[in-house]
Amino acid sequence: MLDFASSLTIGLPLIMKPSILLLAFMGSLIGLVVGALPGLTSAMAVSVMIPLTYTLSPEQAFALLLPAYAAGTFGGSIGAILLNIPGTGAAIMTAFDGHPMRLRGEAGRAIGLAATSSLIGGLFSAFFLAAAAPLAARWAIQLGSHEYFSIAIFGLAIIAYISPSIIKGLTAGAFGLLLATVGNDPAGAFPRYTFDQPDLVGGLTFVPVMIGLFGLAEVFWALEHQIAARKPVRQKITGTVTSAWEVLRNYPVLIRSSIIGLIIGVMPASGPTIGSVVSYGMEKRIGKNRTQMGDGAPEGIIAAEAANNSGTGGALVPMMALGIPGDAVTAILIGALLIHGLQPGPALFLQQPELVSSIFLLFILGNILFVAIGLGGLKYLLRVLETPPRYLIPIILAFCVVGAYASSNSVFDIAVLIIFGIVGYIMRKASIPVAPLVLGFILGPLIEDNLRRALILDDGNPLGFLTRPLSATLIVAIVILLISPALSKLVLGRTVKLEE
Amino acid sequence: MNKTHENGSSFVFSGVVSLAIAGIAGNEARNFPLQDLQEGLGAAFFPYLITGCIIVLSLAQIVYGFSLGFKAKWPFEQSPDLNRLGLLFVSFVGFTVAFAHFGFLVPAGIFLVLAMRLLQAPWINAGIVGISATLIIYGIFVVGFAIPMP
Repeated sequence: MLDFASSLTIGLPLIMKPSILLLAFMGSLIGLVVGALPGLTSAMAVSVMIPLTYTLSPEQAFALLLPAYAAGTFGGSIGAILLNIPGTGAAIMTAFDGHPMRLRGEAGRAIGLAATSSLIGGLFSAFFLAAAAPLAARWAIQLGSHEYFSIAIFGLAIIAYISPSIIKGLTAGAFGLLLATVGNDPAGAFPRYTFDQPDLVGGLTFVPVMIGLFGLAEVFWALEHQIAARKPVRQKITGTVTSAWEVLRNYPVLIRSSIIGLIIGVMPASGPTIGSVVSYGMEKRIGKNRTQMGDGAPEGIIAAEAANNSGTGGALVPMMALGIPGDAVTAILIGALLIHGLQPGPALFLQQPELVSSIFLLFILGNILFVAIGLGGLKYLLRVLETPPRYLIPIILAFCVVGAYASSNSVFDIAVLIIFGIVGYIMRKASIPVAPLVLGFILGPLIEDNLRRALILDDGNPLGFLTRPLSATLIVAIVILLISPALSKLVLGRTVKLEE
Repeated sequence: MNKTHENGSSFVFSGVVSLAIAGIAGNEARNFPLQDLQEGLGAAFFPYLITGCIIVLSLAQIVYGFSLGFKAKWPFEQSPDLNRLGLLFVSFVGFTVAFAHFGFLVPAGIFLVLAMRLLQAPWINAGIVGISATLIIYGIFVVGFAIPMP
């Protein structure tokens, strides 16, 4: 099994190749551009690029996808600063201080603060990933069906909890689990929900579902909200590099935010967005310059960006060690592993340690590349941001169709793409979060399989989940998590009445 | 953030649709075998469990929606550009059908030019960008990554 030193070394021969470096550059560039464009997300970038990886080796595939993940998370901050339209959810908090700074004529300083904070947060989490993931995988070997089931359900509960509506989040997660049952039953090979379609016997193909939900749906959503109609950025961008010193001078904020982002990112299904929100909130509460937060304070940008990029590495820990995604993008990355016949989890660490090490190294490389490309190519990135969506949107749509078809050279998958594009669009209209559905879809087979086994082991007694410490703890945590909003409303309501 | 999530109508709509889908799924699951514990519980076990959960959650959404104040009106914001969006969607579906039958190059070229034009790009720009993009996408997938097209 890997240790920290070998996790950063044995994968080097796999990645020190021109093709890998070229793919990493491409992935960073695409992730940066897509993340920066309003209305488009890093999830879309990664899902649309997955079809490009079919003919690539696993390390080549991750050379394309991992840098895109890291770059997309940072890319969102550029739209947040320049346009006050965060390109990704993780950049929402960056807009609070980034855009006021831009309005003062300090856009370059804001972007430099964001880039440096993202780099340091990302690298911090990358090294943590290399250290912690092998330990987590070693620990995961001891886990049984009860624990895997509880951890997966805990992940679903968290992602529902952080949704705008818990109940809609839970419903979406449950639908994801239901979608995962399409195809032959894993235990008895009985066809479920196939409606006599041979293409459904193997289940719904992951890639067209993802591209439909994240690609197609988001494009139509962006069009409908006329995110197209925005003013071009007309400002000279200077001071991006010198602001790096400013980040280092604010090292308490940097360290605190990186740790917060990492801890939250590690929790299954939390992801970078929550990390940046919590970090920003913490800085606003206890930071030295808290009175200036929201008005162009550099600490606001540092807190948000360090946390969101350190969250990306954190999210990779449960993904690699347990096969449970840390956020929607890592759910898609799990799909990428499965496409290449690889199952994330302890077995991967044992059977393919060089590949695992190469994944850690590629993540480090991705974090370095996006800053280099983002700052070095900022002038060109701005031109891309100014490209009218009337040209970009149809191109993305064409990409979606080709990507969906390429997943298994099947025209049926294009129909799946359209259906899930419509589903994703309606979900957005109805404020039903998409991420729980994706997570449920990815985790469905794991949940079903482990639930069955656990019940068989316990002779059908569901209370068996409460006899194992970890499983019991997680189930209690889930219950507390889901009822806490209602409880706090009740308590607050009574407090107000008492005060009256 | 979409304001509909605070609107009772949104929850009632979402609950009713979820209930309908769960009902259909549960009904379909009646055709799957259910077995005892030692035989692995059967193909119907998990679908029944999940559709049951969805039914409970759907009813909860409906009740919650009514408690927030249900108004019998379309719960979603109307898009001001619905016609154009609809036309774009129809042309997109047309492209996918043509792609399946005639390959990528011609259908994509036509779709990209038409879609850009629908989004109010000038004809010349739509032509140049659309055809260039077609060739670039083809180059990336077929030549660059050796992924075949129909």
